[in-house]
Amino acid sequence: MTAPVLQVENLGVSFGVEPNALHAVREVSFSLSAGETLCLVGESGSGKSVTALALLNLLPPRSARISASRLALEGRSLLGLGERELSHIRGKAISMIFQDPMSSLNPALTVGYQLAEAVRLHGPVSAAAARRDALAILDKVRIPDAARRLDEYPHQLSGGMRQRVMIAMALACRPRVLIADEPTTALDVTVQAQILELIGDLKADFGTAVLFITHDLGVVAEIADRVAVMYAGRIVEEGEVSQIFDDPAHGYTHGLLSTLAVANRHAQRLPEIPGSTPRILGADMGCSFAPRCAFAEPQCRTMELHMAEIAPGHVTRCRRAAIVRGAKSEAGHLAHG
Amino acid sequence: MAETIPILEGRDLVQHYKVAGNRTVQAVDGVSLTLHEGETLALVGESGCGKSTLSRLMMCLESPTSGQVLLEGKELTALRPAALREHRQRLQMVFQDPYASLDPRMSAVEIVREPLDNYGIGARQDRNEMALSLIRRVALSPDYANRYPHELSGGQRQRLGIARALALRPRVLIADEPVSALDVSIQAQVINLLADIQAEQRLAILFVSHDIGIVAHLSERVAVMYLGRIVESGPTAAVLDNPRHPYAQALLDAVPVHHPRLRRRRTLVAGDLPSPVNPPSGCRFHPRCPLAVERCRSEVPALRSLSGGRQIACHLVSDSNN
Amino acid sequence: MALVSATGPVDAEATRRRLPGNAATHVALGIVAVYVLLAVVSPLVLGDYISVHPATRLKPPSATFWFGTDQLGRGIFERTLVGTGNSLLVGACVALLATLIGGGIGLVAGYFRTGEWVIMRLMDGLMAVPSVLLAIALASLLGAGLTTVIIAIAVPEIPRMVRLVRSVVLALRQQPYVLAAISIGTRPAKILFRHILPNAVGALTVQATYVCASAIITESILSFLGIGSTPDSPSWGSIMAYGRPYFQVSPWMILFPGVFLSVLVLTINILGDGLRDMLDPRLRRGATL
Repeated sequence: MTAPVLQVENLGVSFGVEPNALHAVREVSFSLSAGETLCLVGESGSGKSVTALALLNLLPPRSARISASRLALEGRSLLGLGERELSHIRGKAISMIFQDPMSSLNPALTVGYQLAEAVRLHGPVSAAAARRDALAILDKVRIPDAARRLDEYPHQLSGGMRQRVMIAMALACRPRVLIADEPTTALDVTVQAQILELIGDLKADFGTAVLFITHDLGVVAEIADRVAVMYAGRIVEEGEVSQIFDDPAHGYTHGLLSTLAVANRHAQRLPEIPGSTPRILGADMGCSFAPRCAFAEPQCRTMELHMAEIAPGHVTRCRRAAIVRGAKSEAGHLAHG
Repeated sequence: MAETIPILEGRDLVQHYKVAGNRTVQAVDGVSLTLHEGETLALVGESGCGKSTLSRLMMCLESPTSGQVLLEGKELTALRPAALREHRQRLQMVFQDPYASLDPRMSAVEIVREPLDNYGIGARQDRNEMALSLIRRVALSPDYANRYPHELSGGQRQRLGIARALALRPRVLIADEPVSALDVSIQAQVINLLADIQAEQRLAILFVSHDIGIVAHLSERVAVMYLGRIVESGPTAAVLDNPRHPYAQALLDAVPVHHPRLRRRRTLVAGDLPSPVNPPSGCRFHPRCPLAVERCRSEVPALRSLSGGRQIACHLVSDSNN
Repeated sequence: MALVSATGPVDAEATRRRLPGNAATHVALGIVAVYVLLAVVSPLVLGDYISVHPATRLKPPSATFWFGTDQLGRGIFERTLVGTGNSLLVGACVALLATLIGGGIGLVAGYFRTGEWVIMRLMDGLMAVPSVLLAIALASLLGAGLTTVIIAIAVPEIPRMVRLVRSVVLALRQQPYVLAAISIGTRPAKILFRHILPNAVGALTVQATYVCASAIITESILSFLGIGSTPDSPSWGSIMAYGRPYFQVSPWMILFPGVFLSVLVLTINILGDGLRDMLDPRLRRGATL
């Protein structure tokens, strides 16, 4: 085990004022090692994107309240750092790519200019050298005809190409950590497959730690080393990707895996998770998923929750983990069959 | 099945839009498809392949540049708006964005009641009760009847959209990506609801989707679209398990696995979908196709029938090299 | 900005953000109500504001003459208050006319798109007519008066309303819920009045209030130029016009009607923004994120 690159303990984010505050993220802890991909999986409103933005302190400072007992990059605490120091870390040590690459690129500037700017931001190099570096990075992210693309504007590129440019910019400074917030959700599957492969290869080349945020379990199955499942602002289960897919130990994880349509191709009906995802996150007791959970008993709604380790590296917040683990998921069966 | 009259048929549909600079977007370019009673036909493809335009054409929400749409043998594309309106009852649609497709100023019960009012179905005083029973049918609590769309969750909104489409007891339902805007845990609920209703009412469904998993689960036949044309169609299991067209192969190969143990290195198809403004000559897939030969560049491959009810538009595939 | 932030400014900010839209609208509504009350009541209760009193001409504000007097010895207070009615009437009538006629034309042009090109070019032509020149022409034809003023101001406002409504309708008719309405067999007229008009009301209201505010200003300009009201029905514009030669010595003649005019125009503009929010069902009821 290498020392973690990024450590997060007890991260919390709330919006608004008590008693009506919206607790978007609660008690989130995880750590990320070099060359590791951690997938943060969750549905809309689960707090996964807010978690990512909170790590970089990119939330609107006047409405969001961020707290954490520890937030450290390579052992150095990021808590209490000023905006100047944080902006130095952002982009250099931690980079981020987003779902919509168009809105993250300046439409009025050429791709080459924006890339060169990213290169020069982190070291004094001549304009010619920056352009050379920019070209090399575009080649690295396998943009065909890179020299011509340097002088094009973002709108002249396709969606997949733009996301490649974003990845190129994010990697320009060889960050220790890459945060990717649903980077392939807006892309088609053939392009998604290209981008996922690219991120995987670059991770291997640079030893970058990747925090990959997605709602798509297929994407998780493709790229994750470790998985953290989020529901209603909390991480409800975390483990190695094989532990999560073969041995889910939380009612929500189990439900999500069983609804995977690919795995239920020949089933008459898809297994359902009843109800809808909670939208208002107040202070609550018990398990937020209990009202929808197939394994829940009355105590699930009232008893205090704790993370418990059920196998090395595999933790769950579920009181009924033993029963959930007994009921094997469809997906696991089919993969074995 | 091929002997009976299809319940919904598109013949040689073409839709070209004029855009700025005197250019033409060839959104749909010569598509024919048939849908039989009680059957689900899935239309799959990536964004920009024309599947949404095709579904609006089949729904007669826009007039095609050329080609015909026939409902139970009656040509809808030849009808004037007032006459078309009489036929709409049997052809209904569920939209992709459940929020945008509901009028923000109407309550749930008003939304479901509107089609009943439009066609004067039932006595005026009974229509609220009819709307409520439709709301119950899609497993929404009648407590939601007086709520507005913004007060409902995504899944509830889509149930409402389905209730509205069912109000006229249609024979055909066109569902344009009905679950792609919903959370994963909600998708299964809506898919099951559609399947139940189909079984109950012998509905024919044209299901437009980019999600291969859902298509595999729900449909009997599938048509794969690329840049405005159908490149391959046939029974779902046959096409998905053994795609013959190079694009269909690439598309299916790119679908993420559902278990980490199934990870593999892929032979990825290069590049992105070209623009439909100036599509490639010949076979539209040829610039990305690993097998393309000279003929693919110059000659448009026709959609030919293979054995087993399959059709394919590729010069390089014949029934013999199975 | 530290990551663990204090609570103070956050709380204050959140509270402030929840209130202002509504509070401002309510205050604006209150001010407009006061103006309407003044317009209705003041001609009935206030004393003589027409006859001439040479002995008390150009008096500064005092306990007897609250806003001072004009060059003919008439109370500015009385004349300003009575002038409120004139301004409100013109503002309301012009807004109503422009909304009904312009809104109607815009709705039809945007939805049915029949004769759209001809209508829009016609509107472009109308928009080029300056209201002041039109008023002068109309005044020489029909004689000066309130009707002339209202017509002259409304005509150039109509095309602006048409353009706005048409663009809103063009956007709305592409909405999926309009497509959905077509697919469930809703007739065009019902789509227009049930689905498009109610969703265009917000934009219409805002534009109507702007038209109202600018009509009030234009009315003052016309009265200032002497095309508007007759001397026995005072208007803010005419009061200010009379005050112009005396501005150096008796600024109150311009100050008080000017303040009344500015406050009213500002208030109506604020009201417009507030009404738009109040008319939006998504903002009206406690939205659940």
